[in-house]
Amino acid sequence: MNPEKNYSKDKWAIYNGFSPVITAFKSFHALSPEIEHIINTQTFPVIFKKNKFISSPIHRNKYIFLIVKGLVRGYMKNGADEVTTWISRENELVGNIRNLMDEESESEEYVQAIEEVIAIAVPHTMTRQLYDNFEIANYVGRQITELYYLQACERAFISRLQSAERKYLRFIKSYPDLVNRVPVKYIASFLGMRVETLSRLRSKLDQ
Amino acid sequence: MESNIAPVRYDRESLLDFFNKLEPLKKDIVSFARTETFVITVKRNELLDIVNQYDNCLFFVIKGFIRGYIVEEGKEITTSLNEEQRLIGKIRNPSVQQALYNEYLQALEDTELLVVPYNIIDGLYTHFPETNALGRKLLAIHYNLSQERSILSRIPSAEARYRQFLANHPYINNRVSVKFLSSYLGMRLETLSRVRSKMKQKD
Repeated sequence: MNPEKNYSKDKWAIYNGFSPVITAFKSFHALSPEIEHIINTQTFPVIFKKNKFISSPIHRNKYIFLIVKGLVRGYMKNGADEVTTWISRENELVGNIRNLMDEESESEEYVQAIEEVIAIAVPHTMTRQLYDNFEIANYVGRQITELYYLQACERAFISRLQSAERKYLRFIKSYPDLVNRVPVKYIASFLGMRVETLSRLRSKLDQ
Repeated sequence: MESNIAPVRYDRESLLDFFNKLEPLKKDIVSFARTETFVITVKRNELLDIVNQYDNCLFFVIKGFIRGYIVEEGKEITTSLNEEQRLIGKIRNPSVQQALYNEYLQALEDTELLVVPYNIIDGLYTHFPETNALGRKLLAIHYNLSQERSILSRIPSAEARYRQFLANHPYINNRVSVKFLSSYLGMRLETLSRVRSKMKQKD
């Protein structure tokens, strides 16, 4: 939960001199120098070792993270089972939007690095400061939230497909970069099927 | 995100109140929106025609209940249950290369919907930039609802799914038939009936 802070005085040295968050936001709209300064000052790189938790029901953090490298999954516990509800990769934002709007709200979600993760921490305080003071921030934030929402809709949809095969075919279509990268047990959990079923499907489809 | 205190009545004004609580809206925004949006009624069991008549629109449920469903291998699967103040319709995002899916929208009660064409939304975002904040918050609410669905459908036990559903939506229960609710919860009708009576006995 306590991310290893990975920076010295010049935290952006290996990132071409500025926070990758700026590049990510600029893909939606140009930013003002003032906004860029705020982002450069308040965001910071962090490392999460493989299998470490980024957040959990007991330790809620006050950040959204931009993944620079690595894979992250979100899961809920159902008795002894872990139910994987999402998997994110590079250039995606990871974090609890509810937490952003209401810091006291409860969540049962665990967020875990499934490869070593290098990310940029985006403090909620900064996000709120930007929303309160800059119109552009709300424009960018709206577009990002739209994207989040679409991703959530896809995750909800895929789990409603009626056969394991249709789910896996949809997974290949919607998450092509994850197919050969995510451990089979997490894909199976995400798709709501047993590992054996998924393995069988994969060999069948490989032929 | 369900209110525990139901307003006395649901109408266009209570929907506006809901928006204002999320983000205070200036008079000129409200005037613009009033002239450019309109209300339609969908009768119980009718489908909303989002293919022809109302493509490129979003909708808010003013009063009533809409279920969303997909058709998978000939079967209807209820994918969403939408009560008052819910946003329904296709969220667009041209930069996303994902294949979309077809969700049909059907009224389960006589329903009043506020129709908001996308070009009006674009107009609001352009001419009244502060509406981006409202848009952001509405999308965040619906993101959370979608997340809930995502979690719900992945819980292995039928009883646990029903409990989770009740915890999130204590008031929808009575407005949806067993047939559609069991579909939404991914279980057979008999299973839902059994789970419900079992829970009643425990209480």
